[in-house]
Amino acid sequence: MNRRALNILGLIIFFLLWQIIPMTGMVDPNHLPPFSDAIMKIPAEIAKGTLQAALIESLMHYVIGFGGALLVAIPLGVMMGRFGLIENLLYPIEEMMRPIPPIAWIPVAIIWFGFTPWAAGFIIFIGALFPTLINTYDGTKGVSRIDIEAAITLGVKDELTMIKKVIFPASLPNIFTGVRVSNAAAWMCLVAGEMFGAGGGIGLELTLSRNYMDMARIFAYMLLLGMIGILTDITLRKYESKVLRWRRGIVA
Amino acid sequence: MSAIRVEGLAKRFGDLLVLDNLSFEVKDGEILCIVGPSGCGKSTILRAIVGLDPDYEGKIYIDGELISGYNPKIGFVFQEHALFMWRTVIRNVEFGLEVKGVDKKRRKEISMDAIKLVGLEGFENCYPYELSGGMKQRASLARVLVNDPEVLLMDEPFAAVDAQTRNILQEELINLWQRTQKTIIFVTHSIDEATYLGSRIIVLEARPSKVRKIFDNPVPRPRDRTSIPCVELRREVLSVLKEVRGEVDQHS
Repeated sequence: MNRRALNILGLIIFFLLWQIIPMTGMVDPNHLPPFSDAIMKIPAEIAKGTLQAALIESLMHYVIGFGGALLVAIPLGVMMGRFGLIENLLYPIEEMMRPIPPIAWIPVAIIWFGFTPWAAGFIIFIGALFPTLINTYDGTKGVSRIDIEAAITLGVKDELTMIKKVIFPASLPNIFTGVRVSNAAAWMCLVAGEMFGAGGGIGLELTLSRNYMDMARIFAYMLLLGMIGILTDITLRKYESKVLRWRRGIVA
Repeated sequence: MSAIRVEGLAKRFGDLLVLDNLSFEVKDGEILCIVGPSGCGKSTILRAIVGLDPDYEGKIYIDGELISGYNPKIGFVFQEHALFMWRTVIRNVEFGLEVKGVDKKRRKEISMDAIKLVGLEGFENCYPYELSGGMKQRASLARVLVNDPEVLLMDEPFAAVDAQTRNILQEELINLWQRTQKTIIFVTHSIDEATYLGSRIIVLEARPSKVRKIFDNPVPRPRDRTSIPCVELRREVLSVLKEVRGEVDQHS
């Protein structure tokens, strides 16, 4: 059997077990409703308009937080990698801030921004910032000397041109690694922030479902999160393999 | 076409004196080959001339004009190909023009001419990883040629390719030189290469390097590597190199 067929078979087995086990009574269906109950909640939620609304809110938080993090992390990482002054000033601050779990910023975010999209966006921003920052910084520091020297002998005189034409493209593989880790962190922070009420969205729907004691609804929204996660990761990977075509044959 | 004069060049790495009061001239339009025991600072001389190691004592003149730092009259070919792995052949070749701000259409024309000149037509859209060692060196030569330097500095450019390709590349270099009449300084550790290419050959002493002897190469072109005058010259150069090495052994 080919790979794709095995992938699908695995999923079918998973969903079948999820369907059968609660039906046989091996586990309490009130705790784990069968798969069919969960999946049927999705059209019901769409009919009510709740799912679309939650999805749009969550995407907005994602764009604010993840987009903002990339806009800050990539230029800052490059500057830390290239300018000793900025590196030495920021490195200890970065090392001190990075170990603080982004979730710890939830109370701060809610007090600073209230129950608004900006609060969720801020938590996502914190979670997504560091992986991209660190990887960009590492990548920039790791650009080979010979690339830089070749550029100098070919007429590159100013730092801006050097960054644009050599440092940035040479660091892109590292930057992409950072962006993918940041993406995963962003979704984690998104759900956590929203569950605390920072701006609505899918996370809030999970909390509300718990209040309603509606387990099928919880699993329906979890399925939605899983699908979004897969979609964003596939999109990023596709884009990455297009941009980093030149690495084929270098990496295994 | 340009002449170069090096006067009293000295270079230290920490306490280690690598070049000591080194003086020589490169005549307009000649190929000057530099040979010497390994570690004697052959590459250091080229790096000083091209401005990659500006931290030296002594003076370097091009056409009677004192130079320091990058000079557009000088092109540099590295030992390893030093191609930008993220750019296709043509995008590598046009790099210098891009930095100078030449418009896209003109850039492409000049680059394609250079690509044809080095015999890489049909490979312009390949990435470096898709090329053989010899092709990579051709591409990096084309990349230097688009800037139309008057002087080419070549730092063991064919050291990493197999013996047969090496002979072919040497012949191609001579053809190119005869057509363009560029001044070339060619560092090599192969005496065969030096006697085949060089209008003159400088033998350096071991660290700290001074000029030991300068050979004129009277063999008319096209040269036959196995002809008697070529072999004679090779023997003479080799015996001087052996003396130099013998002195090193006595010291150690």
